[in-house]
Amino acid sequence: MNNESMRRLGRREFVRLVAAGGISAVAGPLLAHPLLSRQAAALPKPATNILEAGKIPRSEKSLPGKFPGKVAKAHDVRSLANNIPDPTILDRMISRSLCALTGATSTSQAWREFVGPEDTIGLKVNPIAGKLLSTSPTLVQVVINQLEAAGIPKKNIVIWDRRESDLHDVGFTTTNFPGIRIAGTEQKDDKGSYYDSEGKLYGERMIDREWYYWADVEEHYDAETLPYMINEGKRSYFSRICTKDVTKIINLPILKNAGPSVTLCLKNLAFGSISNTSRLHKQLWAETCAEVPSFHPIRDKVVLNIVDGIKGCYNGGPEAIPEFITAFNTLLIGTDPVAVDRIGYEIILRERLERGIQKEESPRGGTFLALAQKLNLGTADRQKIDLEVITG
Amino acid sequence: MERVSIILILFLLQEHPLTAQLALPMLLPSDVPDATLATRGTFEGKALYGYIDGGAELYLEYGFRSLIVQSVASNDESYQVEVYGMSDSAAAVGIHSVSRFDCTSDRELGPFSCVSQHQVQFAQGPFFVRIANTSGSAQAILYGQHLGQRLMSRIPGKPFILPPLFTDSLLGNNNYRSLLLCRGGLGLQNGIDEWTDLFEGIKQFELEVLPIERDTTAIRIAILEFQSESDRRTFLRRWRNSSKPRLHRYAAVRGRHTAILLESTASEEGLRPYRRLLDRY
Repeated sequence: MNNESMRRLGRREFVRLVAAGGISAVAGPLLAHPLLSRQAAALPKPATNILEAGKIPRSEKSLPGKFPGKVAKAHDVRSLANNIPDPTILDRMISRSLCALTGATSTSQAWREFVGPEDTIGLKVNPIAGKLLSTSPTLVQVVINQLEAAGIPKKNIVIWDRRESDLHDVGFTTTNFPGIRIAGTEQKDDKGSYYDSEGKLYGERMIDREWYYWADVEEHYDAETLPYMINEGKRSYFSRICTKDVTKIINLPILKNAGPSVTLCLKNLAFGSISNTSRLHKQLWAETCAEVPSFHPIRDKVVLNIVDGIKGCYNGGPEAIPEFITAFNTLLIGTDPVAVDRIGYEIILRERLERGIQKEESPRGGTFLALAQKLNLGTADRQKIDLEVITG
Repeated sequence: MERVSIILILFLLQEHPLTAQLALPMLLPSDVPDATLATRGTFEGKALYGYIDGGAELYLEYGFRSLIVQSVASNDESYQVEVYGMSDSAAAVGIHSVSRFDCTSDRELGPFSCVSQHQVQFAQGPFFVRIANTSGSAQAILYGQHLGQRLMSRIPGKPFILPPLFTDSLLGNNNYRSLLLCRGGLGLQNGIDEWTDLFEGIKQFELEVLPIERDTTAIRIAILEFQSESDRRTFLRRWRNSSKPRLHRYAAVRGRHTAILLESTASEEGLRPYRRLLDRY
């Protein structure tokens, strides 16, 4: 076997690997990896306040939501026309997926399973990698149109992410989305400064000091970095947008890899909702992805996840490197963020194996899924996921 | 032992102390007379989070110092030009080595260059440069190369030098293209993920890997520099214990902190010349 053949793995082999359980699906096998177990004993992870997440009892609103373990995967090659998302096709893909997920007979009826006119709805997008690899504004517009048709007033909708300027850069502006609030936790003024006249970060007003993710790890930031982190120390505060401003969250991540793992629903919710994130990347990436969504402001507000996989990236992520951006022509929809991420992970992993970027699954790739399942946020076990495939 | 010293001296010599402090090279309006040039931003240290958020960790791990982002608009095509200033030339080559995939090199952009449909990237001195176009057209690729050459002309100094072991004639002559250089866990995950666990808990190291194809066999030769003898011992114990069927392995230690590894699907017999080569260095 030469290098190339060692690196490349065909679709048939991938399927065989999945069937044989080679693509780890559940917490047991992942955590039982002999090397990882040995190291886990030698190198304990920094402590976190995850136990505090359980102080507010779970309710019927809590993740994994109304349809645990169920994912609708819509695929239509026509979803991109000349590299531009086609709103008509996207509208159809979402409608069919929602009906498949809920059993509703109309799109509006399906939406009303999740939201009503009394709700303030946060659309949590991910524009951080720029125009090339952002949640598509076209997709978001289609979602808004459907919400309006279901009786949700525009004034009750907020398009939201960490950094306001990122939102604007990719086209989430009030000009493009009249009547919709566009909000970022990190903000700057008209002069481009993140600091107000008193030298205080605008972002500080946007965090809720009553809600935080504590982890026994900290970093110090210089004046240039602080605006992107908002605070130092061992606490990462939740954005007021999710704790105070919205009553329901529709999560709209984009399909992309992060090394041998993925950044989909859980990552978008976790790292996108809190401050002071840099300290968490090195030692607690998987834990943060699983633990932050276990806290009430996310766990009990997220009603639906829609992964934008019309275009996505299989390598180079989370950065947008054009060479690795491809048309997946896919949307993944479900209330269970773990199950949706599990399916998305499979899509990215298959692409990486087929293209020879990885020759086998990384033992770290799905760790966050196993942790999230353990925290009862949803189903990571592929065998237990009810996947409905909808083709155009 | 003597050879190891020579290797280390060569490593040190190629790192001219001034190069690490060079100003970031940037495009000037005269480089693009028929296009619109704009500077989108500069980022220093951890402020790279402001540009690529979590993606910054990989660059910081290698020794990121500063970044300038420029954009060029020309003939209905737009280009994003990123020049990353790194701590040293090995850091620049390292980032290049884990970001490269399925591309050709450009002679004028040096041995550590990579040209593909949507991007041109290269490492030269302490700088890593990436120029991305959106259309992927033949014209856009050519123009991207032109922009790269303009930047290249502003970067003095010689390219990163491969360790002498990797330039031995037995290993072929195209080794600049396949070199992999890692300095931490994220580099490993992006370049040689199957080794990531072997480095768990080992804080500082530099790993240079050369994958080679020979007919039906794959060979991997690696030079590893550790901070301590105990880190090296820990790594080698894990490496020997990690089970890989049909893989033959050989390790040699040099000095107190260096290890040279050989692993391959070749037979013991087929590996003999490579073992002899390792023993010579």
